[in-house]
Amino acid sequence: MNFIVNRRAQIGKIVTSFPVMILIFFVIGIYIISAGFIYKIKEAPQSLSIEGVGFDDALLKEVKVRDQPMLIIDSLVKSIINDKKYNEIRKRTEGFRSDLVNEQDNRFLDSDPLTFRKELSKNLIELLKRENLDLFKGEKSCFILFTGNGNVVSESFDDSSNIYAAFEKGEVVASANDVENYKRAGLLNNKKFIIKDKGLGNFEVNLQYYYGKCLGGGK
Amino acid sequence: MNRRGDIPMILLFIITLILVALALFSMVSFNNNLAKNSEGRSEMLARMAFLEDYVVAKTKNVAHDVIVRGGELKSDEDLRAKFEEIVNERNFGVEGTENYFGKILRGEFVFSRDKDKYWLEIKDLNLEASRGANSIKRNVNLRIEFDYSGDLIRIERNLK
Repeated sequence: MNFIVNRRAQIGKIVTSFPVMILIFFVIGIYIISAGFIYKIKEAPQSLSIEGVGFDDALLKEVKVRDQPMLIIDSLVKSIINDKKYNEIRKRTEGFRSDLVNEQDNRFLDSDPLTFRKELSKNLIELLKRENLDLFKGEKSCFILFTGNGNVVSESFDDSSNIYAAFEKGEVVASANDVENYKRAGLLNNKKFIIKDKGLGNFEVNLQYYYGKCLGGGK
Repeated sequence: MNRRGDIPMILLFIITLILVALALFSMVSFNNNLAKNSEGRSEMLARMAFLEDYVVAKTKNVAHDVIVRGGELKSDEDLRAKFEEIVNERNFGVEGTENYFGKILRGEFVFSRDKDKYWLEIKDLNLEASRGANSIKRNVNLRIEFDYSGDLIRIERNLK
């Protein structure tokens, strides 16, 4: 009798474990199939072709400096590098005769930082004035640039390290003094990148800028 | 005899409990701060997009400059040499563009003209954007065509 009960219990176990096994195989099957799909996703994508590029990015426009058309971003970086090198030389030659220092400046810098900056600034403003007529049909447009790197642009603006300017009918009408509004509205683009310079080592450039119609009338 | 027969069942039960506990532990300890992780990735993607646009814009800018000086450049070799010279003058060491400037320096590009246009081609251009220990790479084939006055006809870039 006892033996029979035991046997029934074994049969019971087998009966209950059978659906569990089926369930396990089912789950394993799903796992294997989905793993196969994941493998498939990792396959090399088809090559993608993009024809034509619209250079809407303000910093990828061209500006003439030293009679050479350069990207705005390149001219800004060049200006930043010039300034850094100039300051480095100044630090190292503190106390030396100024004529010798100037001679050394000329040897290490391919352009005088202040002259370069002034020319860049002047030509950039000329470009923005023209674009105010061409792109914005003379309606009020604003250009805001924070370089975060000190003296990049000119004396003709409120701040020596940044540009805030508003244009209308092809002329500079104001410095955009509500820059904080653009920041708060999240309208500033940000370009952050590392420059690897042989003399100066690695340093980060962080450009924040806005180029477009002015907020709330552009004052 | 009967009790011995139950030992595997008891073990099965205990192991199941342990597995459940482990699963719960891994769920609880899962780092759900995905937004912070994705911030780094999106910054890398933004840098990559910038590098790509930057390289295309620079190539277009310099090639245009070279074509405008066209009169003094007699052959394709002159075009290439002038392009190489100006690009290298304007290499400011932007991280991630090393392969681009390396290719230009090694002459691994084609700058030529045919009946009605100029065209410039750079193949297998590797751009790299990194943030901390992570980096992403992109392989691009670039072709830019200009008319004889240096105006842009078309830009074609193939991402591989």
